[in-house]
Amino acid sequence: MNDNNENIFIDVWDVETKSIDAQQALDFVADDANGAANLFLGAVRNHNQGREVEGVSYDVYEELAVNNFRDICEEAISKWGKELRLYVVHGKGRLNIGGLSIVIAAGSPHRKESFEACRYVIEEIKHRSPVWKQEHYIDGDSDWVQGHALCQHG
Amino acid sequence: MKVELQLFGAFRKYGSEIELDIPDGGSISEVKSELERVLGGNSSQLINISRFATNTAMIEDSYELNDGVNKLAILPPVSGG
Repeated sequence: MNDNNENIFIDVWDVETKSIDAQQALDFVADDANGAANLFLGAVRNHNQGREVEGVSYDVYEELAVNNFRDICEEAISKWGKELRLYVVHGKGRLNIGGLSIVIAAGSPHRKESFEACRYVIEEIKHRSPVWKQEHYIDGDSDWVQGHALCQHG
Repeated sequence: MKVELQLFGAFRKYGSEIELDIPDGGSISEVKSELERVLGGNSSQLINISRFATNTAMIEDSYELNDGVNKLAILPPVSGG
């Protein structure tokens, strides 16, 4: 969905039926005034904390997540300038190894702002956004990743 | 009052939603106690490190519940990205 701010695109979708599209993210943040773009992709890896992983399921509180992603993007624009363009899509559903769970693209006139904004958005999402990972292990067991507790006043 | 509580992440093993009856005038603290009673003893650790939210924002423990139906969610520690 396009945000009220036309420089921001935010969505959550079921990655079992529609893959995350890095090119779409880069196309959105491109602009004749922008000479820089950064792309972050999150992918499912085959191990975590000594256990062999064969897939991950993502649980997302969609309404709140979309609001939260928008807050984070607006914070980034206030820090790195209104020329910044940001694209965020987070997946929900189950992914196998190598599957993409998130894409973030940042575009700006110069590279400093796009690097820093892209890093800011992924770090804030990891700490603040209502998304939960359930890992599926090759031994058949599954477990929710322990994660970051959401602080009060945060 | 009633609290319709959406469940996510590690709470999913208890279902996707749970309805709690809280005495009128109750607070988030009473919601936590009732949830712990309904889910059982070993749920208390997870409840205590979780946060409550509406569908638009996270809320503080001082959030004022209304005397009708309150639609909330409990959010265990997050692990997105």
